[in-house]
Amino acid sequence: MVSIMSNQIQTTEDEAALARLAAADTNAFAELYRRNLTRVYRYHMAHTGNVKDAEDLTSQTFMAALEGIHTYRGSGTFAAWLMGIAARKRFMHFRGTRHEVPLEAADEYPNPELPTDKAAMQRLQTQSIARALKQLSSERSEAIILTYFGGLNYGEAGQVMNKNESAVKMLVSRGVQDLRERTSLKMEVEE
Amino acid sequence: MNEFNNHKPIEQNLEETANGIQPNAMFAAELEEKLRQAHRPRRKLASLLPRNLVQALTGFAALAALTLSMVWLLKAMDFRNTPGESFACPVTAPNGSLPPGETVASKDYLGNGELWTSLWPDGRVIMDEHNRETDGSFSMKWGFVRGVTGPLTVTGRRLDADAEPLRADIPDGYGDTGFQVTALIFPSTGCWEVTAHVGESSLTFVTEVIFGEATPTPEVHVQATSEAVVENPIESPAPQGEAFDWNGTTLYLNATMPDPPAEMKIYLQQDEIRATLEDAQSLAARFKMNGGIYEVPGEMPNTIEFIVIDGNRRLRIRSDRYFTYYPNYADYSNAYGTMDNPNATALINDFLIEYGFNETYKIQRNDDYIYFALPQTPDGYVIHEDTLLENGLGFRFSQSGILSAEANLTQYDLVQPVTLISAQTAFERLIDPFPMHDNIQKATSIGLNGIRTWARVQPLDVTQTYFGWLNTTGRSVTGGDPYIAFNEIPVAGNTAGIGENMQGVFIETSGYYHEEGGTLSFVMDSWKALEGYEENYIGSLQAENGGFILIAQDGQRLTVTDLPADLPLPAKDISISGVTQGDVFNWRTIYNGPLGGGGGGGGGLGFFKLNLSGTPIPLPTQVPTPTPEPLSTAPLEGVHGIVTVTIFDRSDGTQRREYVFLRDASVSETSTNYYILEGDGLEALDAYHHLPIVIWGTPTTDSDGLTSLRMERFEVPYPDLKFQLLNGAQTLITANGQSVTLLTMADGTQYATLYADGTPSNSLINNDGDQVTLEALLIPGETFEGYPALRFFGGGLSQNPTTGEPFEYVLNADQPIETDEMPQFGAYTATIENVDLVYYTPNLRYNDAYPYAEPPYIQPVWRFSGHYSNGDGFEFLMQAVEDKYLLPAHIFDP
Repeated sequence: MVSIMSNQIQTTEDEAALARLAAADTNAFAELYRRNLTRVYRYHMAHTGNVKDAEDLTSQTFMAALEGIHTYRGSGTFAAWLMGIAARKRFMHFRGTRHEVPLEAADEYPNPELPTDKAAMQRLQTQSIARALKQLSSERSEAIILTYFGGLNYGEAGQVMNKNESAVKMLVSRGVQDLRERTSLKMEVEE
Repeated sequence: MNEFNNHKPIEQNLEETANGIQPNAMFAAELEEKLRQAHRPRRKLASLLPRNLVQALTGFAALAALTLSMVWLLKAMDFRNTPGESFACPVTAPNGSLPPGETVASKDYLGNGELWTSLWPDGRVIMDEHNRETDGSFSMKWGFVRGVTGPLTVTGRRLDADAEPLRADIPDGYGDTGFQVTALIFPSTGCWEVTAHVGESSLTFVTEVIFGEATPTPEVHVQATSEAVVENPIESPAPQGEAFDWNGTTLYLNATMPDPPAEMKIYLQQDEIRATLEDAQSLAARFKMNGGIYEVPGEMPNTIEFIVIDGNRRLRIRSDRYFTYYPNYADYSNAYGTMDNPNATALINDFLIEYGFNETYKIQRNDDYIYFALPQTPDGYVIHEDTLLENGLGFRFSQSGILSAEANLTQYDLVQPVTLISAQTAFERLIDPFPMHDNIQKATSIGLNGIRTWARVQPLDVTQTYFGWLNTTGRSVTGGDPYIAFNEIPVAGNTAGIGENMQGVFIETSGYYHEEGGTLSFVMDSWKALEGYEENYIGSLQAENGGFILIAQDGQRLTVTDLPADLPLPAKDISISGVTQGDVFNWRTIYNGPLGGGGGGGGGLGFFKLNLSGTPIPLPTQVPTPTPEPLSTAPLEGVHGIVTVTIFDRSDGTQRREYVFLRDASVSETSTNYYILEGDGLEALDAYHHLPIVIWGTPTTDSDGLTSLRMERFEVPYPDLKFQLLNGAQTLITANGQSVTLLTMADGTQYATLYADGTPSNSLINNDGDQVTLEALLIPGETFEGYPALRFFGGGLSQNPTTGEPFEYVLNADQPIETDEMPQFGAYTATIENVDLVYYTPNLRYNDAYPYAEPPYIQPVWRFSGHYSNGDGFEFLMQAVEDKYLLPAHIFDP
């Protein structure tokens, strides 16, 4: 079976109802999986910069979510709950193994479906963004990755990072500023 | 080339990059299949073997589980097709023979030294509708263990009547020895002799096959209600103390409330002072280290730190406040988390004395098995921070000793004394359903606790080929050569071509390990960088035919050798890293950590800012949050919807059925369409799983917002309605402003797809236009915006996008869901076991800009600590100063 990609943003009430069903209903969990697969995968891709690690961590995240689905009580969105698991899995991954392959060595394009020239450009863009994010403080890069790649709003990202919405906004703002300065410097050097 | 488009804002770059990342479709499909398999462990054998995945059952425990999990209470069954009174089936009694590699005994084992199996209790196999094949035969999973080499075959004959012979489905992928799962297909019930063969070896047993159905009377063991069952697999003592309702959980206060002292203090953190080279040298001398000192990039951007390396010891220094000492850095880097060590306190004491930490320290251990040596403030309290690490020295352990000692030693100055509220007042604020005073939560959960690591012990002075990670520093601060490490072991020998500042390069190398003067090093002959990186598998390890095998989650079976003698086998849920060479997995480290884990954190307003002006400012008056309007409790009369039936298997072998009514959302007048059914006679719904019914009943809503419905009666509007597998092309359209997916059949018929509750679905399986197969219901007369409608309950692509081969689907949407009972979170209780006063200060280690709207004070807090009934620990910190020291603003407020 292939995943279903929903094209519409689902309401949190809808996902809360699905989560209640999901402990017992395979299809309900499968629906949650389909709706959230991309955000989890993008999150891990932004951190690891390579497809294999992103896929491994995505698998681990959803397996852990399946095991722990009964603990989701609806306080906070399901997406935030799930991304909290993703963050923990990422932490354990980097803590326990050395999977930080130099980005330049990554072979696979992040999206194998694009035409070759677009894929090449996207690959470079993904790699350069991931490289730049690694140079930020861990909290700023995490805030940016949760919001831009994980698709969480500030409140949800705050739930994951144990900070309030204002703190996350500040981290994202300062992180983006940091990126702006670093990329500007890079451009100046290259020019 | 500049990869950033400098004509676009950075935010746009980020968004475009993010949007361009999509998971591979085949990966997504395979992961979904794995999750489905993991969610429903009792699907028929054919559907457990998807196209290119082998779901290997690990160990003989699986065999026992297969057998034991199907035990029914015999007295509740209505037996049919039993042998005639004149024939007594000579069922075989088990002999308890333990299969090779198995460590858990069971009285149900039958073995003869060459072949083993597990028998049903009393020799009776109870079949039900789930086991019935389309030709009337009965299929049952059955496992065998081969102590001899060769493929397994199984034959069988009925002893009490003429019948077709037994058939057996025996899947590939289980190797030549060890465990082998089968499906035995009995053409009929009766008394059967079954023989398993491997070459000239055979094992014969006689068993009785019975078909049984649950009786409709209340004497049937399965419950007719749907009330949640508390099942706590972690033994914990019965809660004690006064009980309070707390956010839907019962909170027990099983601790005394100490009286506060006359006063405590407010302190202020000093600024962190970054280490200089002289500081690094001084600290190295304190730790009696004589090795090289290297500058390395710091944790924070645009900072540097120092590492001192002396043999296998390492010291990393950031500042006067943050530094970490590793007695053996390779051991630390191989370890996964920390473990409890029975000698921890003594080892910490020795450490403190040896390295000149002469203050008085309080030694504590948290639920993550990190020990802390906590210095005390001048007035005798410890300081807690809002991270995993406390203010002090945090020690991580292996079974053999200290892995690391991490310093988090905040320096501070006295500001002023303050008076405190009572513990009782703080507790009342904690449990206030409309809290005005926020708290800081710290929690631990099962995850890193007690994870054991095994690092492969390599022979000394034996030249071999190894795989692993190469890391180098820059030159030392005195101009010396860079430090080179292979798997964090210092490297000597032929290091030609290894440059400075190489981080995480995966290599193949030839050389030997050598130990001298207590230091382990690697003497290198040659090396080359490899493409890729170390592999990591999650799976199980077990003994098999004199060797060991790794069975990975994805079904791969790899030989492993040289496993540690103290690694208990079979080992499930292990993480193993290494390199595959042919059929052998050349492992380097093994962790036995659990795979589970929770997520998310708190958030909240934060503490009130401190008012140290001496002039009290009143705090705002608390305004209770309006109670939400209760959902309508008007009776449901003739309401249409779908019923689902879930069978929960409990660990004690019993079962519980849960019935849920999913009301058609199109006619819903309330904000819920999900009801857990209660009442008598619910088992009559067993035949209508996922089918439409019309229901009468009275709803009630609990405090969590979950709605139950006491069913009075139901009707089946479409008694002949059956599920169908429908194939067609999917397209996404907009109909009357609503997005919906159409399924277009080969004959041109178009159906609008709806979810189970009748709402339109706009989901796409892979891409718009793809051919898909759906498990669907066509409810007579149901339409959506002029299209005939189908409700779908599952589906996928019709064919493999890579090979073009059609996928096979087994229609099972009409089968009640069977799953293991899991503990309900709402049933967890929390017990406060200790109430004390500590100091609290925010941890600023990873903040390059101060994030709070007041200085980094160190202030007194009441700490309420304890455990949930599932074993998770918690701490809640409540501000302890009196309200006159608080401002009506929070620390996050600008």
